[in-house]
Formats: sequence, C-alpha cells, structure tokens
Amino acid sequence: MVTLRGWVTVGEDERGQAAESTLLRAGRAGDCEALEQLLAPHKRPLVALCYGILGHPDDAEDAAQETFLRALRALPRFRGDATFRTWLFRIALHVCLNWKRNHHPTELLDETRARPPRDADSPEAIVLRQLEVTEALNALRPAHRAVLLLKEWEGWSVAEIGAALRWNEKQVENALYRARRALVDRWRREENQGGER
Amino acid sequence: MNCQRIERLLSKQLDRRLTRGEAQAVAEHLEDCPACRRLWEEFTSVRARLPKPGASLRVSDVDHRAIGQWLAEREATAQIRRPGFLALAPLTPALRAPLGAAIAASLVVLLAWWIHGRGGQPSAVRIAQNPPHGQTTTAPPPVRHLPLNPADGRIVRGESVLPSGTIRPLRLPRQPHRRSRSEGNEEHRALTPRPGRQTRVDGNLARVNADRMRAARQGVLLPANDWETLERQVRLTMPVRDDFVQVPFPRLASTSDRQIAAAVESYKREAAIVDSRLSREVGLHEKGIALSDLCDELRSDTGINVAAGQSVADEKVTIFCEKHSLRDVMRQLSRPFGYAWLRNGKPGEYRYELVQDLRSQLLEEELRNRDRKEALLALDREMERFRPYLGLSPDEALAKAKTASPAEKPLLEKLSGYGWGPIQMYFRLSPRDLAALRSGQGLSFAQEPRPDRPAEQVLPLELVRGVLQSGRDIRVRDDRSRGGRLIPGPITNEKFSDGLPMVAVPEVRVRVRLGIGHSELGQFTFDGGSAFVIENAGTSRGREWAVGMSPTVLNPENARANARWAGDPAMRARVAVRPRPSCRPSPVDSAVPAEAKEPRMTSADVLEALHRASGLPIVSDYYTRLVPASAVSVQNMPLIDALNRLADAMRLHWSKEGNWLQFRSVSYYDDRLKEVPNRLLTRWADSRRQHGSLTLEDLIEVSELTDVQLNSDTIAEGVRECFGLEEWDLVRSGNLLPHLRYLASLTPAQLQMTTSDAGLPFTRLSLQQQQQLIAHLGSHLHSLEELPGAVVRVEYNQPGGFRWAIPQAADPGRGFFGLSPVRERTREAALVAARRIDPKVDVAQIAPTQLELAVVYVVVDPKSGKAMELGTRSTAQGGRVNW
Repeated sequence: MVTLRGWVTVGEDERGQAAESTLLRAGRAGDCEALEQLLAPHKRPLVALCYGILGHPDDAEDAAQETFLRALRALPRFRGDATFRTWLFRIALHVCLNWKRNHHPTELLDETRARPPRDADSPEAIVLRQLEVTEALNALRPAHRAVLLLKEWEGWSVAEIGAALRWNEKQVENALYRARRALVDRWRREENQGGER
Repeated sequence: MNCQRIERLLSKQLDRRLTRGEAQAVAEHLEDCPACRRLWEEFTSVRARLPKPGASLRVSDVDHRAIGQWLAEREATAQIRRPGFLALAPLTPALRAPLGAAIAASLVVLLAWWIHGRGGQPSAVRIAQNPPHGQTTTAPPPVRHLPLNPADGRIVRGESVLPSGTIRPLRLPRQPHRRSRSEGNEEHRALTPRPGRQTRVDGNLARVNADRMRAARQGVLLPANDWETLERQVRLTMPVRDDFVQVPFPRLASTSDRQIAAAVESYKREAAIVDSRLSREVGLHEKGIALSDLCDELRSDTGINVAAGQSVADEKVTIFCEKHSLRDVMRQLSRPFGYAWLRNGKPGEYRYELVQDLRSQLLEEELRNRDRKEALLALDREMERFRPYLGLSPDEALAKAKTASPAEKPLLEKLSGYGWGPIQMYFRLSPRDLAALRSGQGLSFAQEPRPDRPAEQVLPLELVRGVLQSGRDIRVRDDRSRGGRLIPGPITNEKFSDGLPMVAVPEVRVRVRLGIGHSELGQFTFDGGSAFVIENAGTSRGREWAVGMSPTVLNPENARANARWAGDPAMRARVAVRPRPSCRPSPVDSAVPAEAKEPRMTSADVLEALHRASGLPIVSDYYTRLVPASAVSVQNMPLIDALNRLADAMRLHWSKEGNWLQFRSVSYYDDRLKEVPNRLLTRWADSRRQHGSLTLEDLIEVSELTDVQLNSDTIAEGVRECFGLEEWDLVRSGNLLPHLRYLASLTPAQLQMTTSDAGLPFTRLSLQQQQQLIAHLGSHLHSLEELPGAVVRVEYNQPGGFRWAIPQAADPGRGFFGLSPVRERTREAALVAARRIDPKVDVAQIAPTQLELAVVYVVVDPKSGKAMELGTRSTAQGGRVNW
C-alpha cells in the first residue's frame, strides 16, 4: 500500500496511473513527500539519459535538476496526455539539447595511453572496449545520441521521439540510421586498427 | 534495390517499421549480399554494446534540490504577490463556513482600519492568532489589530499606553501579509538540514537551537519582519546584564495585548538577572581543544551546567588564562567567534549552551563566496605576471632565466619548460573558454584534434614548435629499422639518451591541456601540461603553474588593523617568543630524515609561548596549519610588533579586549569546513598506537569524511605530523577513495571475509548490498551473469612485514593484481608459508611489505568461466588500476 501523509491510501492494484495522479494532486498542493515519491523513481534513468546526451556526470546532474525544477514549475499545466515519465523525459531532452547548444563541450584531456595488445578477454581489453563505446557515443551529434538513447534505453517509439523533439517520423528514422551507422563505422575502424597493431 | 537503400531499411527494420513488401525485399537482399548481412548483424548488436543506462553513475539528491528550489521560489513568489490567505491552501468543505465567517470579520476590521488609519488614527499592526496546538486546519485564523500610537510608536491598549518602562517605542512595519503554516514549513525545509540528522534536545532548547526566530514565529503568526523588529528593539533597549548571554525571547501562544506586555516584562526580568555563580574562577591551559571538551571541563571545575551546542561542539580553541571568572571566560569563548550563550532554566540552576545561530552561519557562507572571487582574481593577477615574457620561446626563456633577477627567475623557468604551452594558451583563450576554465572544466588543445573528442580544440599552429621545444628532456628512439616504431621517452632513461630531439621528428604531435583546480578551499591553482604523441605512444608532463589566494588571507596586515594599540604602554614591553613544537615531522613524505627537518609549529604552540612571554590571557580559534619555527620566533621585540609579525605568519587576526588577546584565523570560514574533529583524530591515533597502524576499519571510517576535508593538503600535513596518521594519504588517494567508501556498506564480519584468501562471495551479500555492489561496479560489469561467482577481496599491507610476491609470468592465474595468499611478520615465516603452497618458491619472491591497499572485485565470465579482476592496488603515490 502507498500511504501519503496518512490521508491518501492507494491499493496495491491501483498503483501506476492512479498512484501517480494522486501524487500529482498532492504535489501540486505543495506536498513535499508526494513530490519526492513522484520524482524519485525517475531520478536515476533521467540522470542516465542526461549523461548519455551530455557525456559529463556533473553536467548530467545539473541538467536533471533543471529538468525536475522545470517540471515542478510546469506541474499545474501537466494535463496527463502522456505519462509523467514521458513528459519528464521530453523536458530533459530539451534541457540537454539546449545545454549542448549553449555550453561549449569540454572534457579533461586524458593522457595518451599506449594501448595494450588485445587479448579479447583480458581486463584491460574489456575496459578499453567500454571506453571505446563511450567515446563512440560521445562522438555522435547530441540530437542523434538523444534519439538513439531514447530508443534503445527507454524503448520509445519513433512517433514518441518525434513528438518530443517536434520532428516528423522521417527525421527520427533518419537520425536513428545515422547514429547506428556512425557507431558501426567507428567500431569497424577500431577493429581494423586493432588488427594492424 | 541497392545496398544504400537497404542500409536505411535495415535501421527501420530494427524499429519494426517496414511494410510487408519492404521487409520481403530486405530479406531477399540479405540472402544475396554478405556486406548488408554483416551490417544487419552489427545494427542488431548496437543495443547490446551500449553501456547500461546509468549503472555507474553517481546520482545525488537532484530531486530534493529541485524540490527545495521550487518551494523557495514559490515562497518568494508568494511574498512578492502577497496573495490573500485564501490562495494559500485548498479548502475542504468543512472549512468553508468558518472561513466565510472569518473573511467577513476580517473585512469589517479591514474597513475599520481603512477608515481610521486613513483618518490619522493610531496605526495598526496585524497579529494573527495561532491555531491550537495539533490542529491541522489551514483556514486562516481571525485577524485583529494591535494599535500603535503614531506619535511615539508605543503599543496602545484602549485609552492607556502599555507600561513599557524603559522600552523604546516600538515601530513595527505595517504589513498585511500573513504566513500560513505550510509556508513556515517550506522555510524550515529550505533553511535547515533534513530531519533526522540532528540530535533532539529537550523542549525549549530544541526550538531555540534550531532557529530561535523561527521557533518564536511558530508561537505567533506575526510577519517575519515584525518579529525581528520587535525582538531587536526590545533587546536594544533592555540588554541582558550578563552581556554575553542571550535570553530566549518569549514565545507567545496568544496575541492579546496583555500577553504581549507580559512577555516583554518577562524578558526584562530575565535580562536583568546576573548569575552570581559565574564569578567562580577558573584557570585554563588548553591547546586546540574541542569546545565540547572545554565545556565539560568547565562544568566539572565549577559545577555550572555549561555545554557546547551541536553547531559548535567540534570547533577547536586555544585558551590560556590564570584565575579568571567563568563569566570572563564564557565571554571570550563566544564574542570573538560570533557565538552566543543561551540561558535557560530557573534562577540558581541556569543552564548555558554555546551556539552559533543561522545568521552567523549565513555570514560565513557569504565570506566564502567573497573569498572565492578574490582568489580567482588573485590567480588572474599571478598569470598576468607572465605577460611580459610571452614573446620568448622556451629556449630564449631558459637563456634569460640564467641572468634574471630573483623576481623574474621563477617565471622564466616555468616558461622555459612544460609550462610554456599551457601558459601561452591561457592568454589566447576566448572569454567563453576562460569562463569554462574558472568553473572547473578542463580544456584541451591538440595539433590534430581527434574526431572522437569533440571537445578538443585546435592548438594554434604558431605554438606547436614552442611546445615541442619545451619538451627538451624527451627524446625519440627510432626502432623502425628493427621493425619497431618511434617511441618518445625521458632523456634520463638510457634507452632514450641518444634519441632524437622532438623538434627533429616530424611525426610527433602535441597536445596541451589546461585546468583551474579548487581542491583546497580558498585557493585556486592554474595547472596544465603538454603531451607528445607518436601514433598511439605518448608521454606527457604537467603540474601547477600559478596559485591564487585571496590577498586578505595571504596578508592579514595586522599592523594596519591594530595601529590603535601602538600607544598602549603594555604593548611596548619587549618580549622573546620561542615556541616548542608539539608535532613531529612525518618520516613518510620526504627523503630528508625527520630530525634534519625544520620543526613546524601549530598556532597553539606559538600562542602558548606568547602567553608565557607576555603573561596575558589569550583566546584563539584553532585550525590545523603548520608554520616553520623560524617564521614564528621573535627576539627582544616590542609586544605589539611581535603580535603583528606572529599573527601575520600564522594567518591570524589579533585584537585586544580588556587585557585579553584574541586571535582568529583570517580564513576561518574555509578552515571550519576543512578541519577534522578531535574526537575522530584521537580515536584513530589511539587505534594506530594499539595496532601499529590504522586498521582497515579505520581507513574506511576516514574515507567517510567529506571531500573538502580529505582534499586539504594542510590538514593532511597536520594529521600526519600531529596525530601520526601516516595512512592518511593512502585514503585520500583518488584510486582508493571510491572503493573504501563502497566497503563502508559491509558489516564487520563481511569485511573480515574480504581479507581472507577466498574473499567475500557475492552470494553472501544481502539483497541491498548486492544492489550496492552492482551500482558501484556500474559499467565495469558486462552482465549480471558475471556476478553469481564474484568475490570481493581486500589486501591491506603495512610496512614491516613480508609477502609472497608471485611473479605474474610464473603464475598467470594469480590475476591482474597479484593478490598474495601469504603475508607474515618475518621473511622466513613468509617463505615457509609460501612453500606450503608451492614448494618451488624462491626466497627472492618474498618481498618486504609497504603501505598499500588492494580492493579487488573478481567477476567470472559466464561463457568462458574465466575470472577477471577489477579494482585497484595502490600506495599513497599511485598504483595499478583496472577501473
């Protein structure tokens, strides 16, 4: 059972939409606990998405906080056409893409590594592979990266992504293709280089 | 259909967006086209190859922060708009009727106020009645007016003026705003720590300690400004006779004129009382003692109940005095530091509690912000000193440095080496890059930026040669004739000593990185380096090139601030100050023997010597900072000059009150956050004495200090030298800190298991701990299937023992970190133990232990069954990492 401040009780089977709308109602009235319960389940995936788009953990946290704040400010206007999570993620998308436009991307220079030979199962190789995936993602255009992550991590449909970005479906399909193609091309290049070493 | 068209359809196919006809065409094409088949397989693998969303992310309380900010915004908006109370809360039907009546009554009263107020009648302040305790209604209470005489501002009751005695007329602002209970709660959330983190104390004190004004406001729904005005004026006109004590202002449960008058009278009575017990005499001789301990000592010496509140309990002070009244000592412990004593209880049994109120804490926050800006400006000024020499190449700077003046020499030396690139780039940064740099972001410039590093910018071409020249102690070895490649390396290594200078090798590519660090509070450092890369091999050099600290911190200018004491005959007495060190140089941090080092003093050592020399009572805050003995010793010098010199050297301000000398750190607002409480340091020092070194549990406990505390070099120095905690740097090493913080989630029994040869199996963790481990491993974990056979292992070695260091070549199965199954006190015992496992062990494989810690997570690949080691094995200086 979900109990809010001792006066709202929601049955186990009514969780989901009903619980969310109850929390939303209480949250709009300024109920802090309800707001915490409303936001907490989305915190980690939201920060993850922001991190995926922005590529920096601190920026991701800032963007997630900004997203929550904007959502809270707009709470009275949330009509419930989409789920709260979808609505939240749409806001996050705009926050992150604007962030990318307004902040010059920077990253720490990690000193050049002499890459070890590739023994596919060695811990070094595993670490390197992970690093390469992250680097490959970071090399995508922010909007393409966002589209890919929403599709692959969040399981959004092309139509949902289009609605969030105000793109038509053709544009979303195109972005997905370009993102996948860029990743594949990059991995191919790296495999070739690895073979030459 | 051609391959180009098919490729796009493959992506659509992944999203199940093909028509039946398109799907058929794609399937047919894939049968005949190996290239597109391969692409299809690669497309389908994208999801699997992507990192898991956020598993390794540190996610702080962004939601709480957003909620707090939103609530604060709401409150601010509410104050600006000053809405009617109807807007403050949704109304239940049950409340509508009484509320309607209340509104009607209010309108009548408002009308009366409008008529009388406009007609020159006594002005009024609105005071709302508090709802009965426990009542949760949000309906507004009825409103009534407390009239003031416009001629003198005194509270008027009927025809008579309140018997205000010596009270100055009250001039309360007329504000039609009221606070709802929920608004009060919002303010509470915004300004005070989250509940559960503070110890509860009894009734009145809890209210007073939390926030005296807020507690008072809970009693009467007066607007905040009205309460502050009321309290301020009453306090001004009726100071407490024990002037270092604050008597809590009465809280009113009702708003009748009679009760307000009674409360003011009650305050007057309390304020007029002098506690005769405070004349008892005490003598103190304490160096860097926690206020909580000092209060305990005063309580046991005098029998009077004095205590340090939570807000100041761990603050440290130095105090030297002989036979001074407790009143005098209490005054000196509060006023110089912005603290206050609260008095509670009955006459004859008063309790005193030392506290720092919210206002004083907010002031510190302001000072920190101001200091941060000044430090940034100071850093910029430091960098500007390089500007006259920017036209020099590294070689020219090196030549000029040989004949330069002492002021120029260090600048030129920095420009002649690896600093040349970062310093030159600093002066070419755009305003946007500069802002990014100041906000803590690093910048990177490369001769040929890598496409996978979108943040990397192009290094201006005119700097490339200079950067290459700055790396004059790197040579390039050419192994191409032997089937090898070009490799850069240090000239000091004999393999590279006959190599080519980098300027002679066109294949070398350079990169320059810049950053502004703020790891030590109150100080910014400009650091940067140059990297030299040939294909995938490279080497880099970097360090800090300039430091910026607020000038007020660097130079306290006591002579100017205390010029008024120059005429005081007592300050002209000549003194000699020769402090004795209470800390010993650490043997860890240099090649110089501890005995050969110049002793260093704490401020407490110096003030102790000053007290001996001058005979004057002294009080000071205490923060860990060591100063060389030569800087804090004076011979036959007038007291005032000695004070100015010593205080400047210790970065303290001094002042005089009566015959007391008061000292305070010029950067106390930063120092407070960095300082580590004595109760922890002494416990760890005791543990170290008992066990010979800090235990693993101690290290974990240390790791739970804040980053500000652990990052501070001055604290680290003091902790090593004054408490002998040589392991401090091991904990604050970046390699180990996150792992130690993870180990804090284990129970003592589990921690014990991690140190065994078998380690702590994943299956022995509780569900919550398993989740914590998964979160900690994050993207380092490929799949959850790697976990069932996983174990956590810890190897903690202290100097003075021996371990079996198994060469990896001899036993590849030992793993990446070479954890040893044998650690003994003597070489012989270690050899015997090792030979029990492997009879062929050679004595050369038994190595002395050093201070190092390995935290290793062994995960098992479900397909190959092969174990993989993640984690680190590190000393304080660095180590092996697979993370």
